[in-house]
Amino acid sequence: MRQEAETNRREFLTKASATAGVLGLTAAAGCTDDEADDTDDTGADVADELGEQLPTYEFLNNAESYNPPRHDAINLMANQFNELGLDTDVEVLEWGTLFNRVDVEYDYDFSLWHTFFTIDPVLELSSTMHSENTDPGEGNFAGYENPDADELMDQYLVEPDEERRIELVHDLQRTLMDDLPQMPVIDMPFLAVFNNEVVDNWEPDLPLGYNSYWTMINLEMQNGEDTLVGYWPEALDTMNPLGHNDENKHTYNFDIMYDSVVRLDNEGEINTDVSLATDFERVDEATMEYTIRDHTFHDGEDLTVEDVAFSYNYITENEVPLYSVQANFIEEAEVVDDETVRIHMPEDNPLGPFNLLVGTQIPILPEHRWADRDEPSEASVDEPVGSGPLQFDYWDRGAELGLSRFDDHFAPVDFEQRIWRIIPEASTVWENLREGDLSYETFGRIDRQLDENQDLDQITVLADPATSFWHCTPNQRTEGLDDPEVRKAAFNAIPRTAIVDQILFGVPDTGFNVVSSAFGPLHTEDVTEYEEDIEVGIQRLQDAGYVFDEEGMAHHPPE
Amino acid sequence: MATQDEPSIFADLDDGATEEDVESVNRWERTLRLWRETIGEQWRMLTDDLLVKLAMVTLTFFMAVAIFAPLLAPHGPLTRQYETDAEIIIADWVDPVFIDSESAYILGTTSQGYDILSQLIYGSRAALLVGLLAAVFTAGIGTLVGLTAGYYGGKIDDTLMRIVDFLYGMPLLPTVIILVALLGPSLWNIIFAIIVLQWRSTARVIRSQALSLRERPFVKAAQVAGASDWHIISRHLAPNVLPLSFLYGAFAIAWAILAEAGVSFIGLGDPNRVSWGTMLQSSRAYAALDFGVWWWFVPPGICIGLVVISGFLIGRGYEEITNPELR
Amino acid sequence: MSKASFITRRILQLGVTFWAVGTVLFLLFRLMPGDPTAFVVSAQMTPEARQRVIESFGLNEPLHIQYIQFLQNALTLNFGQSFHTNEPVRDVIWTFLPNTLVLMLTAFVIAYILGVTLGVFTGWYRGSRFEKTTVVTALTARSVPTFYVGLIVLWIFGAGLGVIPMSGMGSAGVEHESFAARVFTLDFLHHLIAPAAVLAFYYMGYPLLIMRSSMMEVLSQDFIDVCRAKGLSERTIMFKHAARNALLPIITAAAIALGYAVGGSVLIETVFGWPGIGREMVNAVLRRDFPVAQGTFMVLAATIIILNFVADLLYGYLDPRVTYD
Repeated sequence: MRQEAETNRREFLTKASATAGVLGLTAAAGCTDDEADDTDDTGADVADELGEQLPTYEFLNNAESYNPPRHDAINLMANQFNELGLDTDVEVLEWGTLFNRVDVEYDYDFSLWHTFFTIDPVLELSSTMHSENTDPGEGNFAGYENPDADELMDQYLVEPDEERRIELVHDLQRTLMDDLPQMPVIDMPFLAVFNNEVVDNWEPDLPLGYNSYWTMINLEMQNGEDTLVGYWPEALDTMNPLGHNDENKHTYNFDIMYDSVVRLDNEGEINTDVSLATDFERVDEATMEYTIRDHTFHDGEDLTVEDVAFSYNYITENEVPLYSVQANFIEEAEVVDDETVRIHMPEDNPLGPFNLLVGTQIPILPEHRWADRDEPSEASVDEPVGSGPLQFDYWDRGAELGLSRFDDHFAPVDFEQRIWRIIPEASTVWENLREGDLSYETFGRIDRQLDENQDLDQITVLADPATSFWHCTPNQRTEGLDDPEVRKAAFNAIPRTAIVDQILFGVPDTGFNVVSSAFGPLHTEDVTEYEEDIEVGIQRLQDAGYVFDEEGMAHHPPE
Repeated sequence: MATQDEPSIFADLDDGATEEDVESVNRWERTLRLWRETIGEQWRMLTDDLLVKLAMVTLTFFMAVAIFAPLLAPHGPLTRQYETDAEIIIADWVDPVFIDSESAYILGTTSQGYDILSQLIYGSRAALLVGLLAAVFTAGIGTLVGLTAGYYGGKIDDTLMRIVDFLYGMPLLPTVIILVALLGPSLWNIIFAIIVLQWRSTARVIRSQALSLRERPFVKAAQVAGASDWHIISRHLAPNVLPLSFLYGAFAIAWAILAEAGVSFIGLGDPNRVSWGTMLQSSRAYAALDFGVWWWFVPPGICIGLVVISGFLIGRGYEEITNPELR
Repeated sequence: MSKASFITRRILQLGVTFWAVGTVLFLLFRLMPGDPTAFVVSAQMTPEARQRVIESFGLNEPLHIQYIQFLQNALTLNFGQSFHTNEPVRDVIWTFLPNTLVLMLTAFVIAYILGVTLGVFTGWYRGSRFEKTTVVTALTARSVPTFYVGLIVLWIFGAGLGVIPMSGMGSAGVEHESFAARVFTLDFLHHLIAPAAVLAFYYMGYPLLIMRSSMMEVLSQDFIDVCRAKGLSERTIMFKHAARNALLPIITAAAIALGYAVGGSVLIETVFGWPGIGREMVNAVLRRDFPVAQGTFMVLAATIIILNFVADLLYGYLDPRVTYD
């Protein structure tokens, strides 16, 4: 899931939705038509007079090797769309091209993306669904424009009252599910898959799931084991905490090597017991004040308030691309006394949830190592020095990364060492996991191996509702897909249960809402639901005035 | 390169024999007859060898399978198999007949619900298309360039050979990967990328043959008699290098199929088409090995092996014709 | 033509070939679809931040300026910085190339020792059943894709019998001072054995067949009869006289084949999770990391070009009959 990785920058603020999608080719393309289509003479009545046929739609898919289940799901969905009467081709693209086509150029008709790590649902939706962001690269790749939804999102973001915010977000969900600019296909859970003879006590946090700081500091090693071994299918790119591209593989490592002023617990609350700041206060609307505890960096130098202020100012002044969004909300950091630091936001652009969106994100850097670097994002870092519970030990590029416990940390981990191996072959992962050579399934693949191995005594699988989900997004710039009835019919045709049961081995739940239940009170079940039945979809198209030809393809009514 | 001083072992096919009936037979018939005789002769020598015969039979078999694939295959290669009552439910990972005698699928289905046997049958199309097109173009372009360079010599030779040198500097698989990533993953692009590189060795070898042939008396005689360059190349040189062209053509089948399989295995195969390479890639993506689902990943490998070895055997058969010391 | 001027000319040609490969590569990567910066910059970057990244890689310059820059840098073996990691491409190459070389050279040495020995025997016992079986086996070994053999070896010996590791170059958590320190460990050997054996099996066929032909040629020459007449033992004739004389074509062929083997390493590296330069190149191509893709490809090409050149020189050196025309 490199795609996931690639899109998982501090998503809450992302302009572009974090989407991981890919395309496939149509199941039917390339084969000879030796198969009589014996299912298309089902619901639709053949009309005598036809208007113009709806255009051919391109469903973009990722290569099979990239993400087999999603590749397969897209092929299946495209099949169903054809059954419904929408002429749909699947085009398989290599990940980079695919991402560009959908997320930057908006040159696609259907996409299936995996949205990740959203801390706040409306922050995410306001970038992907707000009509202000419909220009290329701005985030609204769906091309959805609805003033009502815009209004609800705008209100939500400035509304100080929580109860009122909940009402607004519930209304927003109802609006979006009535209009269906985006079809929630699958709710993807956070998965903890681990060898319980090696390690136990897995607790997720909301943005990073079971790869979070909170998870790591709470793990309990079993049977005297002292090494936690994880893996990733591809090599890490860099040891520069400011120079990576925000793929998960980097975030998961830097998040635990570098402290931020505040940290989240598994309830999604700021927990000062495990944070660098022992206390914080919003001094005024545009100023946060943090009390920093006594701490040292991995190299033994003291971590001071100067380092904290330096990190904020340095990242902002140098316009580090990775944190360009956060930088918008940082005016200046100021040392008050030897344990207090203040962060000033721009007076005209204060941010409500500053802790959540900035405080948990900006890594605290040792000033003595970074002060001389001019282009921080391009610096070559051999031995990263942070202050987190794990410190850099060795990096064998392309093979593995070794981190060791930082004994002086205020929230220590229970293991001596964390090794992160590079294992490109999915098949070898489970072999290692069963034997305990791997402690946990870091990457979280849902596949047949998980299905067949999950009942083993030494394997535990935990699933938690996550904020991430697969959504099929029709490009509303395309003729036909701008009609909500066509989108709804397509949603009726998506075999969500089959995708969950067969392609994803029953692990996730089928989706029915664009805001996941992981968001707690922000989520509502009171939205329009759509039956999973292709006949209902065909009926819906007919009711909307579309007519069908002998092949079962939908046409506009005759003029 | 080592080929320069190879002894030429070709008979001067048209010495004498063609001179006497110059008047009676028209040129085209003569050319045709000459070619027919050359090819017929080589065919006889080639099929002398049991292994070559077997290779021919294998290739013919797969060609027949490829041509009649729609008749032979029980299903479309990318047609999802559904279980009967609930249409949506994919029949994934259905066991083959020899595991479950009730199974409707001789080799079972893939994890995505495609019939493995049908994929195998249709896969022969991609393999043979790649193999044969690459062979024809490799031999064709290589021979043409080699003869031109060798016959004209001088600047033309120099230019053409520098191009060949350049191509020799390109590693096959990485180049194909880059070209396919650039042009898009389709079978035609894979074939194109393979051909672009593969003709280099044919051209080099044919050129050195042509260099020595052009000094032969029959070529000199034709030149003196005022024959056109094209006439000399096509009538005097080409038949003499034919076995070599065929040899490289036969090897090209093998290399091209291996290259296609490799590119597909990396994930740059044509997604709209089933080939044995993409089958292997898919079985790997779904970890068929881990589940011991050998009927998914063993057969395509064997098919690749059989076609490739046929190419090699035929190539070797030719090698023995062109180099009688090996016989 | 004298030997010296032959070599001079070949070196000039070498330069031209390098230039041509580099130019074609440069053009190819610039023609590739997909915006390379889409991977460097994150989607939520501000347009200004995006622009700065693009400028920092010189991607805003006109193509011909980029090209001149590229050529200048290439002369000093500077292939720029990775779009992805900002690491100098040279460092990337130094990280991955040795891994590939160790694997390839090991496989090659095994393949050539076995292949040449078997080739001697097959050439000697021409027409025997042994010869036929060996030749067919050698051809078979070359006909089945290496990655396929690798997968099956992993399945049987790794997953099934558990005697070989499934992936990588070393066990988890083992840290080494240097590349050399790592290579000389039992653990490394344990990881090397399967991929090297699979490759050796594949590469063995080529020297075997060449050696066999070469032996046949040598055996048809008069001096073998002289040896026989002298009453030398079969074994002495076979190895001391025949094989030695037949070895010449193998040496040049080996140099050339090694070049191509390094280029073809990508598949076996993928199967065995070997962090080699071939795999890195494919990854770089897929993520549109032009500088790394260019640099790694150039290394693969250079290996071939240089080894071809070496083969030419060796050939002339070893075979006094060669004239330099």
